[in-house]
Amino acid sequence: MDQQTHYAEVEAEYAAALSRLARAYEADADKRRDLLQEIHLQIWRSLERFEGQCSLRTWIYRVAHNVGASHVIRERRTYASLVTLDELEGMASPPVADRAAALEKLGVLIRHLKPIDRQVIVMYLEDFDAKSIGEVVGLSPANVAMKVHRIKNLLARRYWNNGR
Amino acid sequence: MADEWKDLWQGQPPEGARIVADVLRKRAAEAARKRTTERIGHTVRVAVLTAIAIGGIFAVDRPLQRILFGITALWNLSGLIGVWHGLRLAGEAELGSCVAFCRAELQRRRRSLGSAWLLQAGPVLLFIATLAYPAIERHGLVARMLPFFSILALWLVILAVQRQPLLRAVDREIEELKNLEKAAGV
Repeated sequence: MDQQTHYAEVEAEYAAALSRLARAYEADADKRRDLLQEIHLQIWRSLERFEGQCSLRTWIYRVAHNVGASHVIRERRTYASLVTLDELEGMASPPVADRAAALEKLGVLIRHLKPIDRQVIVMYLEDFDAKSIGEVVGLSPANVAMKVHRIKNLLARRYWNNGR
Repeated sequence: MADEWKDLWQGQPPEGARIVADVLRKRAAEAARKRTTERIGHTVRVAVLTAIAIGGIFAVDRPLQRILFGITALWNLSGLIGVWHGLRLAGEAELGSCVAFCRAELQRRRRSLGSAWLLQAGPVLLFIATLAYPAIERHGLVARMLPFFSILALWLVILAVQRQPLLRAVDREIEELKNLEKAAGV
């Protein structure tokens, strides 16, 4: 398959997921549009060299998260204020019951994390299993499992009680 | 509970217009052209300054001035490394993991915080100082300009000290990422 065919597959299968991924890296709508275009551009460029070294899904998520991480690292002031999952667990935050508010809060929470933890939580929410997350991010399965466990606790205990 | 969060996240409406391949092809070509132009522009600037500095070595008589021109030329040439080994785009890094990419980005940032400004501004300042040196010496300006040079030196020291906490924070992050890579068996 050529670059064009692969990209058509990306468009058909992953456009919505890439749009969500951009939300995890940029809160501002205009900047997010630019970031999403950059993600598509870098995926397009990379597909020229894609020869089935890994699954297409792993490939495009790696590129997309790399573009996102690069975007975050370049924003020096913002980057300095980012935290790890460990640090986030220690921060107080009241639960929210409303769906829209919960989504907004989830976005803020994700954008508050350092790139690696951010990648893990986004892929977890996209329903990737631990092995696939490890493959994209480059973490050991044990490390991914530990982070996913923390994410589950964080989401269950602190951020949305869904009216319960 | 966790699945509810997944549903919530995945239920977001997609944003942005559909991006067609033709537009991407054009943007990719534009980006490549821009990058090449920037690199050539910087290389030409370095080449011109180096040529002038080398010319200066043969044009002047004072040994100190010759040495300073030589240092300027070498220092200036070392700035080229940053241009040709600069930013690696995400689309070129797809074979490495995200951890490896983040580490490389942070290392690049560390270089830019630590020494890149010295490679760019340093040779130009030294070149100007070398050119001005005979006039300053001839008119006995060295003593009179001492306060200015002292303030300049103090400013450079303050700048270097201010950067230290930032550099240490970036170093810590790089170390953490290296540990993650080790744990993953990379």
